Amino acid sequence: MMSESGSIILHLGLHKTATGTLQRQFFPACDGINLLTSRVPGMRRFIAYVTRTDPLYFDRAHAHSMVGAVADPRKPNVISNESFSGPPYAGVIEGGLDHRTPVLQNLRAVFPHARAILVLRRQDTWARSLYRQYLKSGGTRTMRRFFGLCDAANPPLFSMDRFLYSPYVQAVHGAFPAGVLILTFEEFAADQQRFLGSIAEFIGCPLPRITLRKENVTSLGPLGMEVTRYLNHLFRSLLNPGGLIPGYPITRAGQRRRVSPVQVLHDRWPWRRPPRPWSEPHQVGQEILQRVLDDNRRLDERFGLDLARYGYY
Amino acid sequence: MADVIVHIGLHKTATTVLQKQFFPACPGLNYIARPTLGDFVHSVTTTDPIYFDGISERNSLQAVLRDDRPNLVSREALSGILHSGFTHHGLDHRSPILANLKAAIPNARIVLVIRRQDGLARSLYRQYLKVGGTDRIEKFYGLGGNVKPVVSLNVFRYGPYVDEVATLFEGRFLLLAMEEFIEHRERFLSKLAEFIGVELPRVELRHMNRTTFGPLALEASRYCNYLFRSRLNPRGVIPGVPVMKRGRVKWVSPMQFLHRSWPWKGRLRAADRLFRVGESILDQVKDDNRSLDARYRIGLEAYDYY
Repeated sequence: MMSESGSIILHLGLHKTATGTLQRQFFPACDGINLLTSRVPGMRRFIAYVTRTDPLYFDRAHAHSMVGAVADPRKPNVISNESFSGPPYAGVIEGGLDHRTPVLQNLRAVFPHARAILVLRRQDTWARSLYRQYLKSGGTRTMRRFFGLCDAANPPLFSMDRFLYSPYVQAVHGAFPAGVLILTFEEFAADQQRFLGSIAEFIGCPLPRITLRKENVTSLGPLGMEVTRYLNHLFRSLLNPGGLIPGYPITRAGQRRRVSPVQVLHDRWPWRRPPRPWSEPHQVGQEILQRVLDDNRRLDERFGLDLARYGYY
Repeated sequence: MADVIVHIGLHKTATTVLQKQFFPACPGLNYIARPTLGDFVHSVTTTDPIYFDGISERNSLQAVLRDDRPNLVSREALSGILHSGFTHHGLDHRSPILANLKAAIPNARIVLVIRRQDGLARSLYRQYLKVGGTDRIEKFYGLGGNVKPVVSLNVFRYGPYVDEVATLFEGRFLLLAMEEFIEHRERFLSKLAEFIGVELPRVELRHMNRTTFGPLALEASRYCNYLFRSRLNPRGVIPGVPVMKRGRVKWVSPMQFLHRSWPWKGRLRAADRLFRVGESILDQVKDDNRSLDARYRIGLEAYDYY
């Protein structure tokens, strides 16, 4: 059994906060930990079970049996998956469908003594990054439509509630009283060593000597993003099943998938153009940030995360 | 606070008949029909409880409530969103809805109608084909092998769900079986009227929203659905037919009309896949049905739930 105190550390995300870099470069370099990501056999099933099952029907023992074989009772087990903070496209069919609380309840049911790591990101850049990811994955909606900023008749595909961090952070603290580490993505960008040092200390392992390379970065500017949005209409994907062209097959985490060639364009585009103040991604990001300034201030007052320094309010 | 009764479904348990014919005919009942409800149901069913503002939702509902009579809200989506698993296979979403409902109307009384799982499974699948679905029934329910379900099989386990309703609403709920509606309609409606606190209206209920396709026609409609674009088959080549629904234009598959107006009633045989899948689902939940009946004594055995 691995339910003893301190043996489980859950890295909950958020999405687009260097989770890929941490999962593929930093955590594997940490000495003396047992890293459990979706690449470990059996973990994909566990993650799907935790993130999609209603707590009414969630079977703690069944979930335990999925992790039991791969967990190591002698080491800190770091389970890292950003979907623990909510599935990113749950609202595609049912506008705005949000699903964070059930995931926290399920995780708490399996690991009542776990500690949790949560990395936040300032909402304007987070919104832009989520939307980039949406386009990269084949989405066809405009950014305003994606976040439900067009009109009330068109609900969001990604719930705006997710930008309100303070209720979620409080819920995470409530779910994992053994300890929660809250960090910001901006700290990762500004002072990587301090950021990684905090994580290593929290996990209880020495800070590995490693230089992290950038991963999963899409550098398309606003115009390039809009072009890929139009191209996405052509290609079939999870987010655009109506596309006429099937996309090309890739193998990812042992599973064959068909992806839009647009994804390659996002991955390989060589030039970086920061968004201009008049571009739509910038304006939408600012609009979202303006809506949550008070919530960010409250969060900072309560947890002392130094958010003012990074422009959260 | 006003007396509010919430009828939460389940889906495919004569909800439309009750909503369009029975509740509006109940004397002395303030039946809050769909347009009057505004965004209440959407908000309750899609918002995470972390962000749900129960007080604000209660205030928005307050304008349509009356203190001098029972108020009734009826929406089957309150027992879960039917196709929420379409993008994230099997995504299940019942308990957050109940938590939100409790936060918005803490003193609500709940009406829940269940249906024997074989009949429910077949009816849910019919509904899925009617609105444009293309998956076979085995895939729809994730049966056999490594198939991911569109609808989680958990929705057929009533025990944990009824327990949660009972706990959250402190026993203020009425649990009925759809089979009673079919076999002893007067008794079913009397129980409902008594729970609501109104006189039983004299109303002759007519069938609604029925699809009479037999297994062969259902399979044919599944293949036809591939052609027509709909929410459940966005890759269809033919755009479908525009219809106005609640003030908005929606494109639907013409199969929907065929389902509605098909004049002949198809007969289901024991060898049919639809029948066998329903039976297999019922077999899986018989123990749950038995313990549910032991706890709430609703006479499920008489309707072959176990």
